[in-house]
Amino acid sequence: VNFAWSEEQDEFRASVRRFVAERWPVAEARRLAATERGFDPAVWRQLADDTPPASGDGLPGGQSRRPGLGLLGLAVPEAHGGQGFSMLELSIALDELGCELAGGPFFATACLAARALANVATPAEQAELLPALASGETIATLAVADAPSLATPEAVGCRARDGRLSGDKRWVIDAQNAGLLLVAAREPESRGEDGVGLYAVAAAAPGVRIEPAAGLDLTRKLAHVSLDGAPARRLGAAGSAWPALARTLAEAAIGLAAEQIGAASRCLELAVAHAKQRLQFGRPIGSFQAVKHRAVDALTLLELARSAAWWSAWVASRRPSELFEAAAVAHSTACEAFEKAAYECIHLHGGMGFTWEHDAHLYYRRARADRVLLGDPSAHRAQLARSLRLEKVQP
Amino acid sequence: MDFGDSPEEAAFRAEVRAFLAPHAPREALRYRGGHELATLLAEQRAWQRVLFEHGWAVPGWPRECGGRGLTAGQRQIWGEELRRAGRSGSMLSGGLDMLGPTLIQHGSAEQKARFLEPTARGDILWCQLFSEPGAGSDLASLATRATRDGEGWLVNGQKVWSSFANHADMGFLLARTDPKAPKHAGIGFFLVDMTAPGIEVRPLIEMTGGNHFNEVFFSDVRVPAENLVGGPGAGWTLARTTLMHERLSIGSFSALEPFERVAREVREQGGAEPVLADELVRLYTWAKALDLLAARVRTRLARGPDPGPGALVLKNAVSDVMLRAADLGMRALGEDALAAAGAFHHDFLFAPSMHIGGGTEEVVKGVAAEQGLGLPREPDATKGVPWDALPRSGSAR
Repeated sequence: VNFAWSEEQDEFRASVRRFVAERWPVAEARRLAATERGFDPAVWRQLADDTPPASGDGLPGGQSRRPGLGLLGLAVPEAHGGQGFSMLELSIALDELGCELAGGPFFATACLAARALANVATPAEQAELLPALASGETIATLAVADAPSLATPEAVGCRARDGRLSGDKRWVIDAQNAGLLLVAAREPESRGEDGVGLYAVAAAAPGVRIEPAAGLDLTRKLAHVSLDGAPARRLGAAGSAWPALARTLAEAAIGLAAEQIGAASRCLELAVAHAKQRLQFGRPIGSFQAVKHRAVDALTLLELARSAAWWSAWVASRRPSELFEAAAVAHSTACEAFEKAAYECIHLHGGMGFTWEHDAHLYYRRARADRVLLGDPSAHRAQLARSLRLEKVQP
Repeated sequence: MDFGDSPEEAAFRAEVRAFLAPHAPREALRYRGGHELATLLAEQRAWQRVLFEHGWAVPGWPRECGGRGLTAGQRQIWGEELRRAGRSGSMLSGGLDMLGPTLIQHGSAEQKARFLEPTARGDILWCQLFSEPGAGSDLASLATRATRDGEGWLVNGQKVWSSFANHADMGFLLARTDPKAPKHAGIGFFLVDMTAPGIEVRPLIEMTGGNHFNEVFFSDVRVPAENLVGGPGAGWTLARTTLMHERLSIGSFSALEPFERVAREVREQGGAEPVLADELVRLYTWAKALDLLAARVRTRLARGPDPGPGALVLKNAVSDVMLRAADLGMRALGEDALAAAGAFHHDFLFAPSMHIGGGTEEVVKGVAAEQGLGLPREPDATKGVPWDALPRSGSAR
């Protein structure tokens, strides 16, 4: 077992961190929250630019390749215009973006949509669709369940008939920014896993209505999507997309966990920095045991969750057999760690932490919304309870 | 990042299995209460002898001290395979995991020559003689005195919470050599023969009904000069080394074990109701993450001296998992929890000690806050004050 990142991965992390600190710090995320799109197109283009950093020139191929900053194509195969890295590198990028609540439609495009295409679509379809995602030209998103929940085949109610989709998808991540919607729908008369397919729908197509939704999380855009006979193109084989969609959503939970770890780390950093310099009773409040213990409780959950998140990203790239277990462990521990850190960040800042002007509430909001987006951790745990044979089987 | 075995690790695992398969006794050793400690010790000594004869007694020690100088990754594999063979944990671990590494780092050549090999062979059962009635969390305030007696030392005082002292051959002792010095400066680290005249060991019965711990009384006990490790004022530094190694030996434990015990019970019952099932899976997520965190700490240690803040929270996290597992185990028992004894009664009664022994939950959190997060220390009113001018509770003199 080796729990260390490679030198290339460490350097990649540092370059993403520099980029985010400079171009998309939390102050910028706060400013963008008040805009319709929630991102700056100029910075988005820079996120896609995969010119490797100057010091990375001339590195040999293979394992020692250093990822460029072309974050959008990070986990897209090289043949389709991406960099061909795995969930490990993608999780580094999400972690660093999460620190500053940055990225806008990055998660939807690079994690949800790009992974869905890689898992479900045929090679020809991938060759056609992925390059535009990797280049930043097309923003895309994925809607599997009709409403945020742990995706089960039963949660796909949207109907596909004669190449047209009808149904609603609620709280779709960055749908208002997307040019391409990847939508799960089922064939007429189908039940369970059978008949579930993944469809590509152009956001501008007739019969597509996208209604931006004001959300709890100010720094992630959500929208409701209504489809009324919208023209759609099925991707991959007919009616058998479910297993690949389930894998995609497990990967998404792992990607989200990485983002949560970054955000939780920042919450703890902010809280600790404040506790070191805030003086009351003639001494820094961080010297009081009661304050220390709160901070360490957050640190403990964070260190556990970080370990699980790193492992889960490795599992996603190397151990398909453990993917669902890893996703449940990473999602459950990351949600707990982030919620704790976000709460303590407010509490340890005292009255200042309760103001609109402090960033603490942006993280607190994000932490709560993250618990809902891909289904509550308890739903993921219920699935794990069945695979660990812990739950009473109902007759 | 790689959570599988590298080719070298796979080869090492195969080597360990090839050794353990024919040599490890089939019956797993498991401590289950007080009465059979002597039997358990005899079995563990026999097993340690087998390990010694095949060069596996102290694989983590450096080669020049009789070990194998295993890397962090190899130590992990060794621990996993021992666990698989039902051979993890030992009453001898005070010598193997704590005193041994301390002597290797701080002992004189003569002390190493005298004690390391018999310790590795399991001939010496070592007990720790640190805590006192008046010195628990504030260990450095300890009052047991070591006074000069010609060339050697004369020890008077009382120790408590000494595991297996009633079976031990030797003890490693902290005693005050200079009461006029500030509390951390005037402590010596001594090796004492537990059969020496003037030592009285009184077993304690714990709340589990078992006997692990002892009180140890010293009345004019003579300790020869050559049994002082380091200088007469070096004891605190050495004790920190010892306690660090104690913490590291926790790494050979899998947090999934207590979970698995409850899971087995629940599976035998045909599964749990959804609420209990969810709490069990939640325990599973923590236990799995905890094993991963321990592995992450080992990777850090293999690359440099700083194990990172994760190492500082391991102990409390392990304790929380044990407490939780004991609670869920009792819940799984339903009405059988009312009985005097059962599958989880020992775990349940043992669990409260987890957040006390080896540093209380509060002390561990304080250390994690200061060393891991850089939070400022509590103002210390005793700093620089001579030990004999400090207010103390429960004097042992």
